[in-house]
Amino acid sequence: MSSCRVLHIDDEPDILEIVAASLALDPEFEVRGCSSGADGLAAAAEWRADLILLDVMMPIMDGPATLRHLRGNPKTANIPVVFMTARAQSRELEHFRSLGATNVIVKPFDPMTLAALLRRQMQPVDAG
Amino acid sequence: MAKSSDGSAIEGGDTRPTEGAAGTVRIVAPLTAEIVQRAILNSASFAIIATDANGVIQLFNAGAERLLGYAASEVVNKKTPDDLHDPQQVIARAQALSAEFATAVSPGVGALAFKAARGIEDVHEIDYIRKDGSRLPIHVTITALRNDRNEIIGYLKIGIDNSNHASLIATNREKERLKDEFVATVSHELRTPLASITGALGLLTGNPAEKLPDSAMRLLTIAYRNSQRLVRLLNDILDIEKMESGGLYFDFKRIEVRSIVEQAIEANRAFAEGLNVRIRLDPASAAAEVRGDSDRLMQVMTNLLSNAIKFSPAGGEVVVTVAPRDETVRISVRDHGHGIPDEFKHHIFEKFMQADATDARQRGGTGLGLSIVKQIVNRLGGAVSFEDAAGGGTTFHVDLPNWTRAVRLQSRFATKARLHLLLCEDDPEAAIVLLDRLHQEGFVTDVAFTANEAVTRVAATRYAAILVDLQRPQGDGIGLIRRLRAQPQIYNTLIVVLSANLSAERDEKQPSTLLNILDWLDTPIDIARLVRVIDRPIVRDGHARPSVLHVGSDPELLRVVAEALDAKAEVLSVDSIDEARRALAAKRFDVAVLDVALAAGSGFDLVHELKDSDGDAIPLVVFSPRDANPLFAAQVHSALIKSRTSIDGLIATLRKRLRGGANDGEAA
Repeated sequence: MSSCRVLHIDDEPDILEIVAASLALDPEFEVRGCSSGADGLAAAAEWRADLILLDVMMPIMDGPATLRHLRGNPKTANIPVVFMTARAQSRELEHFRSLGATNVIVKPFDPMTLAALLRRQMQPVDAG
Repeated sequence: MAKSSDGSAIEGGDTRPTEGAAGTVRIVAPLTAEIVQRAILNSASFAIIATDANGVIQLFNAGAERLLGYAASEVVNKKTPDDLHDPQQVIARAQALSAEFATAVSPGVGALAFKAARGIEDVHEIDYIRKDGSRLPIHVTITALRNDRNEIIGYLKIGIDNSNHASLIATNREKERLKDEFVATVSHELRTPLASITGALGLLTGNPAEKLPDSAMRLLTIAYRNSQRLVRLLNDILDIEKMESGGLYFDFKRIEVRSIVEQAIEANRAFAEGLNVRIRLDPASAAAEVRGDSDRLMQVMTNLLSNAIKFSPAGGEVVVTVAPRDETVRISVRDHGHGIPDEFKHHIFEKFMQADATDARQRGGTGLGLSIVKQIVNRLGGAVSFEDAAGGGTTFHVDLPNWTRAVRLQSRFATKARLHLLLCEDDPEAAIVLLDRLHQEGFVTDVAFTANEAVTRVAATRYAAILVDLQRPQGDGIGLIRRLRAQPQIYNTLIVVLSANLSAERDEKQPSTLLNILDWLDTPIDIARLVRVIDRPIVRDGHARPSVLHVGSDPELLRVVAEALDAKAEVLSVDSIDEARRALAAKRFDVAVLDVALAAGSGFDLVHELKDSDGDAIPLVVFSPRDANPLFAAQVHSALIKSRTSIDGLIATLRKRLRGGANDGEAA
């Protein structure tokens, strides 16, 4: 059984819960949720995730800042990161990708297909 | 002539003494031009400033005194109008004029009088700087003052206080910006709670493991469907807002229409089947290319298709056709619905307009789809229209300019990053034709009529390319190229050789052979200079080491050159014209080095065969004897200008060569 450990960082508790419920549809997924960038970094350092699902707009430490920290730590540098954002303009999406995210999911997302979507992103990234 | 009751003339401005009613002679027409002019001049509402031909202020009226805060005595014979402006604005004005007229306009009085001096009405908005340093936006009209012989003796500037208008524009702009920002923020903020709602409802309605009573399921399905509609509405509002504020980004590329239409049909198939509507591509559809943004075209198609599907009866059919026409590509979407009511046809592209609003909303429409279609199609340079289809229903047509036409249109508008060129041409007649065309194509071009002027201009301005007419009667073009190439600042600049009889028509049979002379070296050759020439980035086309073809007769020189360039380039040395032709047929070269001692006479025709596979001239370095006799020089000269080329060819060459290397010329 392949491991699908997802660390989800989002300041909206409702979204954390919806994502957990939708990923629970796939029994191979294991999800841990964090409600701030700082909590997320701490969790990422001690819990080896296969993928990090990261909200873009969060107070104090936003998604891009969290991503920089993740990439800066050798322990987390290679974990694929997928942004989740309410900003949906194609230019904005390109910008998020240029920051080093593996992919970008636009809110609202389809809860029935989220697990399949994340599965396709689970290749370790080249930190260079 | 009409007379008023007291007998004075009121019409026609007739100033002749007239018999009055009482029989006495009196001057009846007080409205002389002089009186009117004096009144205007004394008006405190307009700043009227007149200068002599050199731009020195000669007249400064009461309005100017009031608006600017100077007494006439402080400026008359002491100041020029540019002293009354913000120097930055005068520079910007000069730049705008330079761009508009494709010639260098220097900032100063000349810039302010530039249009008026050419008999063109000059009306624009600019600021005056008052005596106390404060700024006054004005609306100004500048006219040339001419004497009886039509010579310019001065300029007249009439300025009207424009501060109300200017501040109104600024306020409106700020309001617009805040509104745009508000709409964008609201849309984004709404998405987050919507994500929770649609997510939760989606899980409940989509997960077969959730065992819910039918009645609850039915209500949840309604809630889910409407939450999705809200998402679409938000997306559409955001798109409309972005398009109206010009903020929607279009990624223009060459795209194939039929495949995008096919994708759109596939994407909407499930929706169609859900309403029991068939959807298909007319097999007569042909492949066609347009310049566009594939995501946006997909959006257009999706909106048109979902409309057609929504308004089709159950069991109906939607047919899409792609048909290339002369210069456009027509995409047609035909439905078999009720058709569009006549009274609604004028409003169909307006926002939130639905013929049968209740019906449309039930079908999940936002009322923004066609408005978005129209805006996107307009941005793509096309048009959208519709007609009643024979046999019932409606056909929507989207006409987009095809790829070749779009490119032609685009070249006209791609003038944002204007490239600065120098044309070395001593014949004004020839220069004018070329300047006009270069300006149309978006280049800013300076002209140097003499070699010295060319050298001075090159020292002052970084040009993207220099065009040299080799048939310059004053001094020779080759000498000019040598002088220019000796200047370090044009080390990497493209120098294109022209002949003055550049034909205005395109000659398809005679492809462009514009020569790009990299350098012209005297024998004995300065090897170090040759190495520097080959080392220029302009000679390389993607790969690191340039390949050089050296055509010469002196085995000694061929060897020396090959050894000298060994570290920098791949050199192929040949000692005959025939060998050179074989080499050119077999391989692509970045630079050709031609020894005219070998090539003089008919052999110099090789110059025109130095082309790469695209038909572009290979950059050329020429070796020629330092003390060539005049006859020999003339021979070389005539061989070089034998190439007849077209202005179109020149422009194509410039575009191609400057596309990647624009920085060479633009970076200061």
